[in-house]
Amino acid sequence: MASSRMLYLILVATVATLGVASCVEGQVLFSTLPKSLVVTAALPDGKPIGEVKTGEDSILVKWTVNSTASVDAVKLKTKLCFASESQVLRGWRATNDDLKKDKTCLYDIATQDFSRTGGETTYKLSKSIPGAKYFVRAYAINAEGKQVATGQTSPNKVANTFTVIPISGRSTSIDIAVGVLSIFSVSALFGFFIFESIYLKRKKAV
Amino acid sequence: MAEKANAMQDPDEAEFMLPVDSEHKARTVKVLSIARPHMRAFHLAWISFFICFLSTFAAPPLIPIIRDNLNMTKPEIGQAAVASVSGSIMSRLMMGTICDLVGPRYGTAFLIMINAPAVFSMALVDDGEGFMICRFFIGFSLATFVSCEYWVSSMFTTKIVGTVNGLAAGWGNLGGGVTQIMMPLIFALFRDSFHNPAFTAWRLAFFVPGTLHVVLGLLILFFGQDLPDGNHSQLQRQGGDVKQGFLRVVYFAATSYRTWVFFILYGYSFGVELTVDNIIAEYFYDRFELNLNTAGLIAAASGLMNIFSRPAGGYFSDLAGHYFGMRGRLWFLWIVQSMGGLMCIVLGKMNSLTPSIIFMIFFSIFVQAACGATFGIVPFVSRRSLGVIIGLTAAGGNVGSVLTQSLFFTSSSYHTEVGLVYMGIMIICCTLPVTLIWFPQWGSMLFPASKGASEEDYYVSEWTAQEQEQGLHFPSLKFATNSRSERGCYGGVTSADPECDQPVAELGLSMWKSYSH
Repeated sequence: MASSRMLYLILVATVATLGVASCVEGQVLFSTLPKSLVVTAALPDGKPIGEVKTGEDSILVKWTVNSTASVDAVKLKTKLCFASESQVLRGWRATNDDLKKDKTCLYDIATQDFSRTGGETTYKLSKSIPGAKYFVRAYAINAEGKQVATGQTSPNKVANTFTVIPISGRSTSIDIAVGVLSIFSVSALFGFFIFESIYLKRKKAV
Repeated sequence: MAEKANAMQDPDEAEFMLPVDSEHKARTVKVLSIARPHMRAFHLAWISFFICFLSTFAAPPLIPIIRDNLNMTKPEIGQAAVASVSGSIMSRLMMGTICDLVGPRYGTAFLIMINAPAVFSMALVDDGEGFMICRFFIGFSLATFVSCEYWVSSMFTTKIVGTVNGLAAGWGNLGGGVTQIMMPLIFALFRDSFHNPAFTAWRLAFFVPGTLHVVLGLLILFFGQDLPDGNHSQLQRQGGDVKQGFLRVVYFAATSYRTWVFFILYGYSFGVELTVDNIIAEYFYDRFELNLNTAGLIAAASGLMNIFSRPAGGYFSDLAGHYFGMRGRLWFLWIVQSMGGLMCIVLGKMNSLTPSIIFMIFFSIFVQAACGATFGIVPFVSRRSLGVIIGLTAAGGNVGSVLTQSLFFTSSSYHTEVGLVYMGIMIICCTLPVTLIWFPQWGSMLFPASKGASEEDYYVSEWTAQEQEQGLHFPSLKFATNSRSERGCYGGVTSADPECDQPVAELGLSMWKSYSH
């Protein structure tokens, strides 16, 4: 149909314009970022992380700059990122080379001032983090807020990942409340039936 | 004798706050009143249906939180959404019979109070399977559509029962929209004001629809009444062989091809409305990076169109029927439902937020108007088997939703926006069967009526010769006479309808002809 073809052309033109616009804005592609940062994640006592619990455990994230690289940055952001196996069949966690659209790293760990000698941070896992396998990634941010360098604890999002055990969100008081209210609902219903039929029988008898 | 007749009438009129007919069914509907028994029944009926929609679609706006808590994948989310609308296929079919046996008051109260534990149990689920089972059982409560229509039809006279049904069903469907705003707000309340982690707050949020189930069930039991003169159990039932009659009613409904055409059609107006209720909040959240509340608000706009679009669909169907008869109604239904399909295709192809919202709203208006228009024609398909046909059409709506969700929104192999385009194409294709509907006395979209066919022949043919001898077919005869208005004023076949000469503006509610159960 002519109208749908017209619509298609308008859409292609819009996408093309937006594509050009995003180039003008300066989209950052992950694949073009130099891997100048070295990041490690461990338990606070130095042991490697196997499993950590949200709301209870902390992790120690250390980062340094690769000696041969020159990085012009102001801030350093560390983030918790999904391992490949936690992204399977979950499009809302998909990896995209354009960092504006990338959803691999949804949880922030810390934002610190950048320094060539490196730094570290201890992060207590927030209760809102879902259960999955993760690794840690760091971005060096320049004065305009754009990423200029990166580094991560896992080379390919498969090796050297750790498991985060989430809270269930349930509690005993919720379980009890559900039980009480369900029993109330069913017994109120049948109680009413029984009382009404007794009442009607009495009325008929009278 | 005349004085006696007058004296007989006065006590009736004094007993009810609304003007009533000979069966004590109300002749007008006063939306702002809660007079017993008519208006009280109207409000209890539509509010109970509203609350069932509220709880069935309470999960979708919170999916971004729930999917993280329960570690769900896209196929699991899709399967739970399919489960939520498939439970009520059976329950809708059974509800008509239940209302016949125990009355709509007990039927509705029983359903929503037995369903309350399922809503509360949502707070206990730990994985995708539990979530799916819970949504399946909560979905049973959508059978309140049938009891709502049944109750309202028992309380209001045939001339306005179409409008009142459209109002009750439309306002009930609103629940699917309101819940998209309400649940994120309640979630935010529990998370921020009462300081719970997100994974606890969403569970607590489900106590609200559950409690509403219990409260409304009790209100119906204490304040509801099946019929204008009392409750079902207190009144004598009509004599006759109930079981034989029931089987014949089902036989006539199932063997008419028109029933199955509507089974398919309603799946692509109401069914796609249910599908969109399930997927649209997550679509806006993921595709356009909105927060939960904003995505919920936009998704709600779709459901909120029900305030006027479903009643409007019924009203304009009546307008088309007035001028062009049944052929006008059929054309109107086809145009409106196909436009809904077109809007769905365009919605899927929109890449930015504002056009997506606009086309989603247009899509909702058209499919909801198609729902209203469908029930402008369904009452004429059969007089004898009306209850069963309504149940089958309603069940078809759910089947359509199950089908579209399974086909287009469960697999990970394509994005939701592509699924929307395919769904739009399927709507347009599955609306084509409306061209097949042909009434011998009124014609179809493409073919005129056959000469000499009459409404009486059509409706009386549903009764066997034996039953006609017993005179059981008289209500059908009465209905047939009233249905002559479906010949239309300009349909070509001369209409005996005196209302053709009236200017349209004066017709108003008198355009709704016999839609009684």
